[in-house]
Amino acid sequence: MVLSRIIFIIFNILFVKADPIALPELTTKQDIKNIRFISSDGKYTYYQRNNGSLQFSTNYNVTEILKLSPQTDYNILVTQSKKYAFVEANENYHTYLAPRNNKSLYLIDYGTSKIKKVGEGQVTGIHDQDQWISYYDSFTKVLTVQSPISETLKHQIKLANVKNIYFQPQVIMADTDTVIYTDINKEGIPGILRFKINSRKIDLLYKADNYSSKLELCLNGDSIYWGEFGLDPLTKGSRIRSLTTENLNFKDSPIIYQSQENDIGQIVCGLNNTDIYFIKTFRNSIGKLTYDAFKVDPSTKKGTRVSEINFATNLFLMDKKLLLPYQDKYFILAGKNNLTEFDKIKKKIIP
Amino acid sequence: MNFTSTCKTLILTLLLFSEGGTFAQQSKTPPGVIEGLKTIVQDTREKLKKEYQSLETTNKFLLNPTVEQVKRLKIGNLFLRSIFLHSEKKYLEMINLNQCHLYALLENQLLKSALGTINNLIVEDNGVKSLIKYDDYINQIYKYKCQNFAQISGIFNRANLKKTILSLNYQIPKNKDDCKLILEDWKKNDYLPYLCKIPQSIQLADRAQTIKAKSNKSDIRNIVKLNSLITTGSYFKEQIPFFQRSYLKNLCNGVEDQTNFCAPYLANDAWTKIFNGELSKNYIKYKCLNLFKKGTDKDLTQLQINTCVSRMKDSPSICIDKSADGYSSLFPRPNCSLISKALNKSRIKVPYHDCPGQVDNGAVTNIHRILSHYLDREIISNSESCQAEANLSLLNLTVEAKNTRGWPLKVCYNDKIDRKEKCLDYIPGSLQKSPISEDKVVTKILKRINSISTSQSCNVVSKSRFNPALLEYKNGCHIVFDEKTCSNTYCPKTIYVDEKKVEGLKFQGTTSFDYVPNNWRDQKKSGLMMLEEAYKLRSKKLRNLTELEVYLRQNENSIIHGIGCGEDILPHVFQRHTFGKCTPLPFILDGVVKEDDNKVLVTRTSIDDLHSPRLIPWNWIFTAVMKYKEKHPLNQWNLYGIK
Repeated sequence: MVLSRIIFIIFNILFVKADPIALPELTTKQDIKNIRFISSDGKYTYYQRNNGSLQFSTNYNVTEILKLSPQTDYNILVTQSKKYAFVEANENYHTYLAPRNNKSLYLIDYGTSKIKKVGEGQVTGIHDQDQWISYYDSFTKVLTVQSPISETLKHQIKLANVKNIYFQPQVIMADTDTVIYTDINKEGIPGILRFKINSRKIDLLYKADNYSSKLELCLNGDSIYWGEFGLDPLTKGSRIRSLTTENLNFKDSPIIYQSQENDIGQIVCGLNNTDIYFIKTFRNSIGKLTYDAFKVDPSTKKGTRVSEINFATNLFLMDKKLLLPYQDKYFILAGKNNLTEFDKIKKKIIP
Repeated sequence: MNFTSTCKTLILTLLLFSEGGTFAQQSKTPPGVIEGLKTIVQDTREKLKKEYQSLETTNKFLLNPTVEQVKRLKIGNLFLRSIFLHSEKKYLEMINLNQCHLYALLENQLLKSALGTINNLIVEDNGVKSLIKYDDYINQIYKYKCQNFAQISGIFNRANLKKTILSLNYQIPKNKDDCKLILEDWKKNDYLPYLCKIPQSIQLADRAQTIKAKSNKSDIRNIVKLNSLITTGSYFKEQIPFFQRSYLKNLCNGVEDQTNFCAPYLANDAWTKIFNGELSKNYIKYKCLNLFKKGTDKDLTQLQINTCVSRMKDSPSICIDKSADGYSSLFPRPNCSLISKALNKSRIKVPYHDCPGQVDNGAVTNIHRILSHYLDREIISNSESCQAEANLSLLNLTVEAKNTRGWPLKVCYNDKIDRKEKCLDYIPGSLQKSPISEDKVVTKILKRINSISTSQSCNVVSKSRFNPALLEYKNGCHIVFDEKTCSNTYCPKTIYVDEKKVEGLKFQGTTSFDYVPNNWRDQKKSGLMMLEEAYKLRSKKLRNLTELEVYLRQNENSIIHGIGCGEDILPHVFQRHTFGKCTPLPFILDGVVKEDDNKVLVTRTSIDDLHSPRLIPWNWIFTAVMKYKEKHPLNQWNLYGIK
């Protein structure tokens, strides 16, 4: 009797599977591979075409806002402030496979087709409620922080990095005068630096212990979340910490998450006022590694696994939707899957 | 887990613990051998301490003993017992092999008593106990017993140490039986205690460094003691090369256990296999030449390979940072252990080194690697020619495939004779075998515009090597580029002729081309089709892991190439911030490994160092190829076996 019950219990533990996390798949009206940005309310869509055209669609109207060579690839960054859409255009996307190649950069007044060229480089962000944009030139190692309104209001920061030519800095702005960015010193050790716009002074806020780690920054209102993720099994470990824009003491900032594994990272914050998301490395009891999206509540430090695809690589925010790309799909981790609901012809009610 | 499954688990747990009786109480370990031994050790320590202190305080020292006095002496029983209880097993084993080793070990202060390192021995002469300094004792012993050790002691003194160490034969075992024989030979060697002094001193020095860092600086006595140990260790490190130090460490540990000596040399890692000749020396050649800072036109001696292999096994972090200086690529690289795992399954031929960072276009790097594998060319690479080598591969491919597009890279100048701008084809970098190598083309132009004489010629030199203070750079024509920042896309360079800068030359063009067919009309001009046309290298699509593994199994010499999104292959390098973002990244795969219970592929992306392959999960590669397929103009799956 006892034996049979034990066998029953063991059987259930081994073979009764916990319900997996079911994630909705993003569906759109247009062909998903051409889309570059859709607003959460479905009102505005920016998409590209094979002939090199970048198009803007709203309210059944389609406008071509830019036409470059055929097969030009576009990337569009829009923040929550929604004043601008920052565009990267790569005309040699399929013919010059160079990751650090500079792209042509444009700014679009959000929700319109008004566009202007701003420079060459790779987009690193839009900051301070869209009052500043930043971009990076991997060849000259210059990070440019520029006003979208006037090209003359431009500040250039020369990075120290010589070790990793494929390095791209992470950039946030704590306030209108303070640019915080990551860099790598000549030994290859990453660090977080502060550039004061008015005084043009640069100082080091944090330096990692070794070169086998990467640093990430994420800004949500007054809160900065920053991560240090190991890149090699010899120096394993990941930590995410938080601080406020008023007190930039990175070294002593409290830890809100840590792990003994080398997480992939890719911190996303700003979806709501609390949780942060990133890609975590999980190791099961037999040592198998998997990678999935994870969220942490900074106030309670409670973490929750939010996907179970096992081989996630990155996640990103597109106007209140947190998306997890995997194979040929985009899964929605947070936000509504409502992009097919807009513009439907309303049913006429005959009294 | 959701609510349903939580309930299931709770119920099962309750069931498990609701049934079942109490477990039998575990019985205590009965008192026995361990307890008895502890008592003996403690007892001996206390008695010895008492005896020693008594002799010390009463000043019972036997100073300047004669041979006759020493002949009558015997080491106190208690003291001897203490030596056997507190000395390391390997040294006691040496005494077993040869009784004279007792004296050699005492001489080298490798034995210990309950009181620590032996500076004075407790001896007895007809029941009368006294203390004698260890070196006084040994010096006299050697006059009538184990006399050859006096000579050995001489050849291991500071004046002769290095010469003695370097003169010995350090045989590396090839298999278990070989190892056993080598170790047996060493055990018979009278030098053994003197050799083991070296790793012991180094180990003590390393420990002393750690202790000193945490010690109270005001404890002068302690600091002095630690400094002395550190100095001795440093001395040995300076005098004795790394390979010998490593060998002796393994040897001395192997005296008590053969595995300690044999394991490092019989390990299943790639470095050992390279040393044994099971894997190609090319996998290590450029790494080691870089570590030793030797020119790449030199070859490695077997001893250098041994040293290099030992370093990679002992310090796996050196592969992350060092070993590829001057050949710009993605940083940081994998550590030596990971590279070793990858190399165990790798098959690509790499008798050269390349510099992806200087080439920029990953398609060019990939084609260069594919051709170098299949055409089996031996190239002597250096940081000045590596860029040119890759570009030459592409040029030769376009010529062989009769691609009439023309070469895109040009040097343009204002020809005053013909009064117009002229442009000549060129390959960036210096390459003797190519007539359009940059140095040759610039020489031609500068002669044409009379900037140099007909007898002069230009050479390409990296910024790190260029030193105008040296005579060789004061005169002549030098094209100086910064190898850390230079690439096909962006390479500010300065041309000096007799120390003066020369202007007026413009380097332009980019090596843009279709790596895979991007449209039906021009597919013959793609890299894929040119490889087939020129060298009969046919690509076969591989759609899943099974096909890939079968392909590798059935084609022993074949490799796999493709293009995928960098954000999925190297997510710690490329971040996807926006919808549809994909950085096209060509790559080569040439092996499958099981790592952390996942199938991972031996991967060299086109931005990776050629000699530092990564292990990337298959699922990431699959997602990467699939995501790029969505971006591809022909919606093409781009993962190919090639043979």
